[in-house]
Amino acid sequence: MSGVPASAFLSLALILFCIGLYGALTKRNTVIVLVSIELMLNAVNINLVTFSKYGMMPNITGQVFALFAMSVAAAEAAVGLAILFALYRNKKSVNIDEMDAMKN
Amino acid sequence: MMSGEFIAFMGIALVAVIGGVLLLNLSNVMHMMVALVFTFVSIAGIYVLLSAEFVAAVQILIYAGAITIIMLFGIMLTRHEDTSEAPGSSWRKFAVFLGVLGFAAVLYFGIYNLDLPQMENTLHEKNTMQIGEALYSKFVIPFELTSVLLLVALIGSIMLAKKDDEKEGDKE
Amino acid sequence: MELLNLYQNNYLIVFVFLCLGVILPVVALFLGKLLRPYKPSEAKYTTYESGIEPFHDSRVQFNVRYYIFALMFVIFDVETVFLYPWAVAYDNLGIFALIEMTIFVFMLIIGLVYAWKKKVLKWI
Repeated sequence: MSGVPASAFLSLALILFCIGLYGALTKRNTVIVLVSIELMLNAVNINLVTFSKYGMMPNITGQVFALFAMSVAAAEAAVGLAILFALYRNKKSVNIDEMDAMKN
Repeated sequence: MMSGEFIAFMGIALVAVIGGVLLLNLSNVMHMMVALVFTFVSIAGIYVLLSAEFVAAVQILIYAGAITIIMLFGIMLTRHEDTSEAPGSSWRKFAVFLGVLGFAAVLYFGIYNLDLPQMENTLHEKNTMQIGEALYSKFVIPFELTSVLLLVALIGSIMLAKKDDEKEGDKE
Repeated sequence: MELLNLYQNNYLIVFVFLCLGVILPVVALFLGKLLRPYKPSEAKYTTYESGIEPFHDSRVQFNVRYYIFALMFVIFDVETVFLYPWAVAYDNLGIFALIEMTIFVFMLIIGLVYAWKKKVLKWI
């Protein structure tokens, strides 16, 4: 019926998730780490929408769930950046390896 | 088997992955954000292919619009050196890369021959209306909880970010 | 099935539009580079700053106050997202959905009133 199998979409989501994971684990700038986390959430949304179309029972629920995930992601980005500004006021740095006040 | 849909998927996926790889490899943070916008817009294209028109529009509205803007504010409001590379931790990066690669291999092993049947569906007909009907009849409680979440996010972020204002007001 | 094809073919227009949007600035900039004279000198590369010598980085740090406006934009953007399907499906939903949406909007108005009372909406 259609040219694109579900595994192609899932593989794309996997690649994007891994890019986001690598970025979140290696980048020093906290803003870029937050952006990488958004990319991971996006990959998850692709999975949700894929499973809403493929499978035995195509259903709108996956798309509605993706909408909720997006609004939660927006709220998370807003609060994450506000926390980043609060940290930046005290430490004058956005590098993630300098935020180790609880380590020692 | 090279249908138009497949070609479209390949093109969009290529742009998305290139955007992600550029996000990892560019050194200027502003350029990283531009690469990310390409990824977000091509993910909207993926949603269109998956007959989720409304989610595609929301993807552009929220991700390519709002979240990119707020992240740009995050970059401009904080002082930063243009390079975000950590000095002398390449072995750690390599270890992370191996770990991510192993994770990807394991998951890919799980999905590469996954054959989900594609049933006749009506997701693409009046997509927004279907979403509206599901959202406001089946998902009332999550919807109201979302409003509470947004309220909490708004008030919490204002409280966290406002302190700076008062301090600077004292200084001036 | 025909509807699916129709749906997908409708997006060909969007695709053509995107291609035009990408090609137009690229071609314009390339033609400009081709046509304009190129005679660089040291003085031409400095930033123009009202005639005086530029003395520090062009990128200045903005006040955190502006972040609040971006934040409100994001929150109300998400609200708009939920308003669209409600407006489209309004005829099939009836009065109960109207009450739900009133509660939803009321919650966010509380946030707006809070921001107003905290005087973060003042543009200085």
